[in-house]
Amino acid sequence: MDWDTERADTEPCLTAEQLIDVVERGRRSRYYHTVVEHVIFCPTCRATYKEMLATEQLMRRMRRARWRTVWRPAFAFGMVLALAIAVWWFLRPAPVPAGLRWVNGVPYEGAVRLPDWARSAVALFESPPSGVRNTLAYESPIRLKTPSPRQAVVETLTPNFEWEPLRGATGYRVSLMDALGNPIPLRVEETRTQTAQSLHEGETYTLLIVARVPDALPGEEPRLRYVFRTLSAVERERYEWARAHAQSAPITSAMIFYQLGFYEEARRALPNRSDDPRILRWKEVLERE
Amino acid sequence: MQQDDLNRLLHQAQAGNEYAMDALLAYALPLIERYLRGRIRSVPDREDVAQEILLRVARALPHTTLTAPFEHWVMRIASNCVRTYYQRAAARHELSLDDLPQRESELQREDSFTSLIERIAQEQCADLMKDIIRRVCSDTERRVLWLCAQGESSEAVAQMLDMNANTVRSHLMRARAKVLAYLVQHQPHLLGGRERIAAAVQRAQQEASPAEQLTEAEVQALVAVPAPNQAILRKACLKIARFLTME
Repeated sequence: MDWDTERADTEPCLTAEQLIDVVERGRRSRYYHTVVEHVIFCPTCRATYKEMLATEQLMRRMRRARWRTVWRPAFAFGMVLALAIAVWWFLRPAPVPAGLRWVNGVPYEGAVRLPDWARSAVALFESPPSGVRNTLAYESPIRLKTPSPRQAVVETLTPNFEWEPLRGATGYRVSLMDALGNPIPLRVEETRTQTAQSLHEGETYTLLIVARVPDALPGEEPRLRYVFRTLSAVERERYEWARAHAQSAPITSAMIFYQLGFYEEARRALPNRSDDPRILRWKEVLERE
Repeated sequence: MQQDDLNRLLHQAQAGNEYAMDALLAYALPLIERYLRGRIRSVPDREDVAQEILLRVARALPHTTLTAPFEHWVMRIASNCVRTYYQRAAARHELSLDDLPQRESELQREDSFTSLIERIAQEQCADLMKDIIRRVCSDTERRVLWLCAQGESSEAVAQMLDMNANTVRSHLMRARAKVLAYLVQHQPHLLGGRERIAAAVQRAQQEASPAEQLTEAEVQALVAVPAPNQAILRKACLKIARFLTME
């Protein structure tokens, strides 16, 4: 129905920019009133405008459908996840303070209740030794590879010993004695040796390695004297406990390792916190062992 | 580009001049890109659709008699291509096309009720009607009324004016009531005179449902000039509208 055709004839048609802007922004468009007033009277512009609006409507429905099929489930999943995290956050057990503490006279480290026999280890942590421990192994030209010369105790009752070859040495004389000087039979093979029989638990032994050097005077050959202990049954039990709790109770484990003579393991077990002066002191001590 | 230059290029392009066609496509490309920018987010897809639009323009232009401005024609092609793009996307995402709007059915649905105002507007007194509408209606009511008078459905009007369809219907009813109230009071001859209005009141009292029956106050408002209460008069006018017949 052309009931204002003369007006439509006199006014120029809308530009594409005006139409696009109104289609996009609706009533927020600065062209809104111009376009609406014009399309009322101009069937040509109205047809184009309606065509573009129909496409716009289709596009919006498609995007809403996309929202329904993809984003809404993802959003719901995110909300459920956030809710689960929130519930966990409020219901989680109170964090256990790290370090050693006493609860009703019972020692704890973190969440681990320490056994009674570990009290001495706890007490030891409070007072690091000030002296420096030296062994002959450090001063000898013969270097022990296995076990570590910093270790004063061997874990097994049939230990292997291995040392670095000494330049100029034509052979080695190796002997192992118990605390009373009784010789223990050994199987020697170049720079390795192994006990031919099982050692006794909880006893001290001395390993003596003497290098045969052609031009050395008798009694002045390079030698290594390594004194070590074997673990007793009780010590072995404590050693196993310390190894099992090296992560959950690192300080107590380190002290037990130290008490047993496993200095390298003690150093490794100590936590890396640098704010506790006792830990720093213990690191210094264990570096020297 | 000036309109004259554009028309000259159009004639030349339709006559088979390739340079003119290239110039027209170069002119259309920024418009197409501007239109596609907010509608297709994927850059490769956008470029593909732009290419498709340009191809359609180039193929169709030589054998098309343009009844609309060139820009509008390009925009319609662009609009169609965007719609096709989304319909393909819907198929890819296994969305039911039943969910998508059926443009023809939605936009060209006619109101079953053709109001008296629109019927009057079809008569010779259109200028007078436009003047009355301008005088008694707000801008929004006027726009709604005029678009409806030209056969647009309330959904289409809502879409064009960026409004809710119910809001459009409210504006339409209010505009009709205002115009009818004005006609009843000041231009009764356009409705066939006071006798015809009285006849309509009588018919309404006899034929209308109980809810549509006129109250005493509404009858008084229809006969009193000027009406003491415009709100009551407008309500009464809406009630008798369908019983007012044009000669």
